[in-house]
Amino acid sequence: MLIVEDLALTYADGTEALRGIDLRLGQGIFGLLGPNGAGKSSLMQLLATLQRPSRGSMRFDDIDLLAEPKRLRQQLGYLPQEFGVYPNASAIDLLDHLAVLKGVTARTERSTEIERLLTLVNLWDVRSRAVATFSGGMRQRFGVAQALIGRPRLIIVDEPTAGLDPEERNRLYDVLAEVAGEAVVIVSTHIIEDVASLCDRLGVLADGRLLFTGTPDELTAPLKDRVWISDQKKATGRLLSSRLVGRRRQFRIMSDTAPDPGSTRVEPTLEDGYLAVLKGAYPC
Amino acid sequence: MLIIRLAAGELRQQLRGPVIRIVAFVSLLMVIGAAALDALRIEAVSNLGSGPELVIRVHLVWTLFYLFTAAAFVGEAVTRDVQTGFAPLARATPVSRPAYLLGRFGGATAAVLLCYLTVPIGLLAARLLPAANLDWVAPVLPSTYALALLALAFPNLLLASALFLALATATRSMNGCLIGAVALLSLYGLRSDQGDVASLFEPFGFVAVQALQAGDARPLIANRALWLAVALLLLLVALWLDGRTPHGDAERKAASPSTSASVRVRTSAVTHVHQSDGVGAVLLQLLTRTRHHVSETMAATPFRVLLLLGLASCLANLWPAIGAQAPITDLLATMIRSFALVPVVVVLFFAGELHWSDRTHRIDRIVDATPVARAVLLMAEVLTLAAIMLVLALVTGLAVPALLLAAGRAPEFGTVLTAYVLPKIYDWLLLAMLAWFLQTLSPSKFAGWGYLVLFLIGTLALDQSGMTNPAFHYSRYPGAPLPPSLTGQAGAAPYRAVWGAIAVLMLMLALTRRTKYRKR
Repeated sequence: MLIVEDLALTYADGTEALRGIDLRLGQGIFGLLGPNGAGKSSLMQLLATLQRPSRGSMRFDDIDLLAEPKRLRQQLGYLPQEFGVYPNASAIDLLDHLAVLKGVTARTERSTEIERLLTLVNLWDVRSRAVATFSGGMRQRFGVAQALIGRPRLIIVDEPTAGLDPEERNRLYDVLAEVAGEAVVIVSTHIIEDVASLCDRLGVLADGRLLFTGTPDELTAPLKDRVWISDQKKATGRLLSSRLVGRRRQFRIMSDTAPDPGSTRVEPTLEDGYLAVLKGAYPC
Repeated sequence: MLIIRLAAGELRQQLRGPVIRIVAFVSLLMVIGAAALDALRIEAVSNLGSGPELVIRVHLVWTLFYLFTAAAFVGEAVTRDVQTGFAPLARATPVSRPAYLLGRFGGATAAVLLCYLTVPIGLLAARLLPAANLDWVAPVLPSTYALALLALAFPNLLLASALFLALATATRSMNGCLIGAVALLSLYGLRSDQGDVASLFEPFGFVAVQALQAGDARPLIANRALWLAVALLLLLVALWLDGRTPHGDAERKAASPSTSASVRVRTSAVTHVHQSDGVGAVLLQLLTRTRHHVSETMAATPFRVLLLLGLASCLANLWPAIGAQAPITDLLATMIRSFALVPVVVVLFFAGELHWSDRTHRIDRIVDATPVARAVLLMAEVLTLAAIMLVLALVTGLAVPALLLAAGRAPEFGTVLTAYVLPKIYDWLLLAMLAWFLQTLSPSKFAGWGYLVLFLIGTLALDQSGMTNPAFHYSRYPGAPLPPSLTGQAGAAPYRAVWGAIAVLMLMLALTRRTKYRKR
């Protein structure tokens, strides 16, 4: 169980990246949604013990993250939003290097673990190639493989699907779903589809504040029978989103009653719930 | 017009950085200080008359100091886009590659020249000082400043910048610039003091200026014309090299395996992976990190080139002494004196490269999220520096027995080991520890390099002020740079022991220092 209480981070220039975050997470995948600049990466870095908070506490089972960061790191898998690699290092050599740093010291066990991970992410056939020559998707899968070294119990992946094509994204979903049965997995993303496909629970972070936590169903439930599609922008109700559908502008509006005579009631989506939270229109 | 706008943008970028301010400040301080205090005057500008002669000499000498500044500015201008990931965006614009490179070059060179103006400004400011030396306040016509600046300093800096541009474009790294700076300094070191050939081919114009002072301007005109032509040629080479490099990272990447491959998610039996943090694990982590850093360093082009340059210089100096049947102690003394610059440059450069390696390669967050102790990561850097020193000492040390054998003499392995290899490893490691310690304190690699350069300048200033007592100079001892096994200086051991203790203290401080972030 990961327990975060009153977590805050203020940078030296006075920017408040996080303000009073409270969170309780058990095993499974937790999706952290939020627009760019919401504080997702800052929260991820605090949880990965790469940075110390200005205030608050973080516990993972019996580990106090601030007092015993090393103990946490022994159970941590972390994939940052952006990462590089040593030039010329092959996938197998770099994983071996990182496995040693993670304390997997028995040679045979290390080899077995590396083979398992490279197979898991479908990179075994290119294990001898320099990671620097990998495509974006392959590199991202390598990043996931390194995060899973040692079967971590807390896995933090920051924007893992950014820039991936649909097939690569599906592969990543499979891998994360595979490991989620044994660990607390936190996936930061701004792609709603990631959360819809993967997450047991989700949180919406904006402007450093956690505005919602719950299951995907809990996010959409209060919007049941209250989301309408209309082609009239000036219809009554709260505008959630607008998009072009077949070259016609379509508006999704939250309202207890039909916002205009031509509007149609639809089932609320995760995106509706997410946008309702972001726009302060969430009915709770 | 486009090139000028690009150059202006590059100049603004350079002006916003801290390096230009630091260099300008130090430069100004050194010039004014030299004018005010005899003690701060460096050898190259001592006893060289006064007035115009001195102004010209100061301008020339400071162009040598500015080689590394030019290397830093031009190197950064060329490599910044790749390092920041901006290159693909820049290359996708309609701006042609030659225009883009010329713009960057123009801005960086303008920054160098602008920064260099602190030299004449310092000279002029020094004239206002009540304590200024009389030689430095003797009447000087404005035309002398114009000559020194426009005919000597600026062409020299233009040549250096063009060379660094070509090297940085070829290597896509600062390494190329560093090699170029050392090579240019070597050319300066190889100059002879007179003769038509020297006045033409010595790239900085030191020799040609002597002819000018004797009333003959033709050698200087020929010299300037030749080296400006070389600068232009180097610029063309850089443009040609830039045109040959791929347009984007993607072109260097091999094609991905077929995306139609089925996902092979293997549901393996859940078994626990044993993670250890005992002494054995720590030693293995230390070995792994050290091996990684050592192989990274040994594969680095600057290391190999610097080593080869140093070795060539040693051999060139040793060969005449071998022929003259000089005793082994004299040979080793020659060796130590001719291989003095390379270890300093290696220490300066690689202390920064090693300490910031993970960040440079953007893998620092992944490494920092592992349970490896911070002390292990730092100790691996120190062990790597020791290994580098060992390689430097062994490779150059073996040159002596090789030459002795070639001359039909006994190889004297034992003497080389005890009087050169072991004591010099110790000496260089002392400096390496300081360079590395400064890196651990600094917010960036460049700042760390700057700190050590300031230390080296401070050492020079102390020497010039007569404070040559080894007690005032970290890592120095009686008889240095020759070790006591060559000089027989009995008093050297306590100094070496104290400096060693200070190096250990720096190591302990670095290992135990608390940082806001994990390692950075």
